[in-house]
Amino acid sequence: MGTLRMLVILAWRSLWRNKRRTLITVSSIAFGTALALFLISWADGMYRKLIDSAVRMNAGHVTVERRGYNLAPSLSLYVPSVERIRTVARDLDGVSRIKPLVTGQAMVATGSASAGVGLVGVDPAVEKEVSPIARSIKAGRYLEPGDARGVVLGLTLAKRLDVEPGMKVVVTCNDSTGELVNEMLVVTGIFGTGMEEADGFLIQVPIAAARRIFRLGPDAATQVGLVLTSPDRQGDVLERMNASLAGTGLVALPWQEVLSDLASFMSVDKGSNYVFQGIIIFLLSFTILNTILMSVLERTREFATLLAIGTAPILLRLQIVMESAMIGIIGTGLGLAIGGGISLYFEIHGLDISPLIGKNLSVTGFTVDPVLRNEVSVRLLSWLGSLVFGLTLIVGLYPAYRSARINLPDALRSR
Amino acid sequence: MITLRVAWRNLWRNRGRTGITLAAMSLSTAVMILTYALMLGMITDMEKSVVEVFTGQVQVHNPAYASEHSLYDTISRPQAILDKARSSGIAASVRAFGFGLVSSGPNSAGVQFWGVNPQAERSFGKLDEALLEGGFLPDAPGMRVVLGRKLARTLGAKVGTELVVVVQAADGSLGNDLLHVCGILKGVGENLDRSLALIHEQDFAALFVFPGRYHEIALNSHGRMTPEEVASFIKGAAGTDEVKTWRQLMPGVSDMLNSFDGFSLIFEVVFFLIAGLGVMNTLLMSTYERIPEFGLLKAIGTTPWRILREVSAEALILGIFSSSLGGVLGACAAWYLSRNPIDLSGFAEGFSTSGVMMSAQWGAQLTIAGIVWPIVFMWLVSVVAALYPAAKAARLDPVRALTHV
Repeated sequence: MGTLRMLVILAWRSLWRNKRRTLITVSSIAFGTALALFLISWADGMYRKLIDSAVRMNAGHVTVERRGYNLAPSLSLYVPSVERIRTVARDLDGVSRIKPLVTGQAMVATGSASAGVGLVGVDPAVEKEVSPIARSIKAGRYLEPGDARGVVLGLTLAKRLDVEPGMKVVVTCNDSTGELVNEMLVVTGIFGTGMEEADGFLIQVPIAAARRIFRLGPDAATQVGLVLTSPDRQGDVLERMNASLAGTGLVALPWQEVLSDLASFMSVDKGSNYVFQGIIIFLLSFTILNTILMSVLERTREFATLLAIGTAPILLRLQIVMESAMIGIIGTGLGLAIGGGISLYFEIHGLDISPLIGKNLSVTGFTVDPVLRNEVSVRLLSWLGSLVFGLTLIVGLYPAYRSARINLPDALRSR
Repeated sequence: MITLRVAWRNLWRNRGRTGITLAAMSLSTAVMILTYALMLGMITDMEKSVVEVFTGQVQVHNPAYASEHSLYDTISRPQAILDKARSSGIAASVRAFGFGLVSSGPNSAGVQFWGVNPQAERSFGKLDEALLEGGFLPDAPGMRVVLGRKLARTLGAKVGTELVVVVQAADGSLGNDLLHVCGILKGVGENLDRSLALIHEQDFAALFVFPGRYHEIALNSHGRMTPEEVASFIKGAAGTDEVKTWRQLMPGVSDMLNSFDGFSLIFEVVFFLIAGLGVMNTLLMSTYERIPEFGLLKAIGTTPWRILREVSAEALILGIFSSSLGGVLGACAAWYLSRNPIDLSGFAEGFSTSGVMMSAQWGAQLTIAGIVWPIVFMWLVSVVAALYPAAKAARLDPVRALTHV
C-alpha cells in the first residue's frame, strides 16, 4: 500500500516538474479525443435526423401490418381494425403517436396529363403533428379532417400534371375487390419536401376518402404506424406489440424492414464511417505513443540517476505507467469536456452547412436538413473515453519498458 | 552548406528523438494521402454509378419532350446522331418511351415503357447486370418485359408472371396485349424502381403503333471524354434537338454529389487537424527539449539567426525524408485499395439512393494532388512547429536558456 502511495505521489510530482512537456502530451490526447468525439457525434446526429424524418413521413418507428404485406403490398392484406391496435398501443410506454395509413397505387389524370402515383390515406390531425409533408406546404393548405374530396400532392407532380390548388384531378385505381374505380378529387394544397420520392410520386387524401375509394371498411388500414418518443424504445415496443398481436395474422415490424432501402444505405454509410473512425483512432494512438515515448527518452538522465541510487527497475516502470495513466485520465477528460461541449453546442444550435453544399440534400429520397445537429450520448462519451484511456495505457507500456533499459554511465555523463 | 551539414549531424545526435519525429511525420502524411484517396474514390464511384448504368454522360431529347412527355415529341434525326457518335467510338443507346397501365390479377399500376434494343443496351450500360432475379431481355422480340423492383412488388409479379397491358397507341387506338416478366431489376433509382417496364423496341413499336421513332439517345464515351466534350461533339448532328449532360438533366443527383463533396471536405479538415496536431506536438516537444542546447550555442557566440537557420534546415531534412517515406507508404496503401476495394457488403448489399446506384465495394482513387497536398501541409506544420520554440530560444538570454526546463 505504501509503495502504491509513493508511486502515485512520485508520478504526480514528476508530471508537474516539467509542465510544458506534460501539457503537450495532455493536449495531444485531449484534441484528438475532442475531434474524434465531434466527428462521431456529428455522424450520429445526421443518422438520427434522417431516420426521424423518414419514419415520421412513412409508417413510424414500428409498423403494424398484415403478415406478408411488406414483401408484396396489396390492398387485400389490410388491418381490419385500427381501433384494436390503438387500444393496445395507447397504453405502451414510448408510443407518442399512432398513424393509420391506407396505401395503394393509382393513376392521377388531369385534362393535359396523367401519372402513376402512390395514394396514401392519412389522418390529417395526426399528420399535422408528425409528418414533414404537412409542414412543407408551398401553396394552398394541408388536408383537414373534414375534407371529403381533398388531395395534396408534391411540387414535381403538380408541375407534371399542371395543377394548382382548387383544381380537380381524377384518380383511377383498382379497389380492394379488384374493380376499376374513378374518383374526382380537389387539390387543396401542394407540398415541397425536396424529396424526390415524395414530391413526384405521392398524393395524400384523408383516410376516410381512401377507404371509400379502395372500398375498405370504416376502421381498416393497410398499415398502422407507431411513432415513438425515442428510437431507443423500438425493441421494447416491438416485443410487446408482437406479443399482443400473436394469432391475429398481424405483425409489428421495425422501420428497418419497412424502409429497407434507407436501412441499407445507413449500414453501408456506417461501414465507411467505421473505417474512418478506425483511422482516426490509429492516428490518435500513434500520437499518444510519440509524445509519451519522446518525453521518456528526454528523461534518460533522470532515470539513470534514480536507477543509480538504487530504485528497482520495476518501480521506475510502474511510475511511468502511472504517469501515462494520469496523463490519460486528464487528457481524455479534457478531450471529452471540450469535444462534448462543442458537440453539445451544435446539438442545440445546429451547424448550418448550406453555404457549403448549396441546397437541401436528399438521401434515398429523404431530405437531410442542411443544419446538422450533433448527437452526444452518454454511451458515446463512455466508449470513446474508455477507448482512448485504454489506448494510452497500452501505448504507454513500451515507453515504460524503455525507461529502465538504459546504459547508466553514458546516460549520467550526457547532458 | 555548412548549415545543412550541422543540421544533418544534429539529427543523428539524438536518434531516438529524430526517429520518433520522422515516424510521426511519415505516418501522418501516409494516413492523409490514404484518407484523401478514399474520399475521392467514394465520390468518383458515385459519379460513375450515375453515368455507367443507363443514364450515360449525355442525352439527346426533343426539347418539347422534357415539359410535355408526349409520345409525339420524338428525336428528329436519330440516325445522324448515331453515326456521329459511332465515328468517334462513343457508345449510344436509343430509347422510346410510352405510358401505360399494367395489371396482374387484382393489382395494377401505371408504368413507363422503355422500348430498347437489348443488344445496344447491353454494350452501352449496366442495366443488364443490375438484375434482382431472372434475365435481361433476349435479343429477339417476344413480348417479354423487365420490371423495376418496386413496380414488381406492387404488381406482385415474379419471373414468368403474365401481365395485361393497356396503352394508348400513337394512332389513337387502344393497344391491348399480354407481356411475360423475364426479369426484375435491382434498385436503380426511385423513379425507375416504381415505374419502369423495359421491352424490346420492336415490341414497343407494335404495341404503340410507332415504329422507328425515339425519344432519347443516351451517349457515353466511357471515360475518354468529359460529358461537356461529348455534348459539344454531338451538338452539330443533333439539329434542333436538345443535348444535355447528366448534371443538367439530373440537378438533384448532381447536388447530392456536390454535398457529398462538402461532407468529405469537413471530414478531410478534421483528419488534417488531427494529423497536423500530432506532428506539431511531437515537434514542439522535441524542440522545447533542446532549449538548453540553444542556450549553449548562444553562449559560445552563435547568432540567433543562425540558430533559426539550423532548426529550419533540420525541419527541411526531416520533411524531405518523411514526405518521401510517407508519400511512398501512403501512395502504396492507396494504390492497393484502388486495386482491392474495401468490401462493405458485410453491412449491406448494393443499393440505390436518389437515383445513384451504389455498390458495396469501396475503392480508393490516387491522384497527384492527393499526394502533393498532404505533403505540403505536413511541411508547413513542421516548419511552424519547429521554428516557434526555436525563435523563442534564439531570443532568450543564454543563461536563462541554459537552465530552461
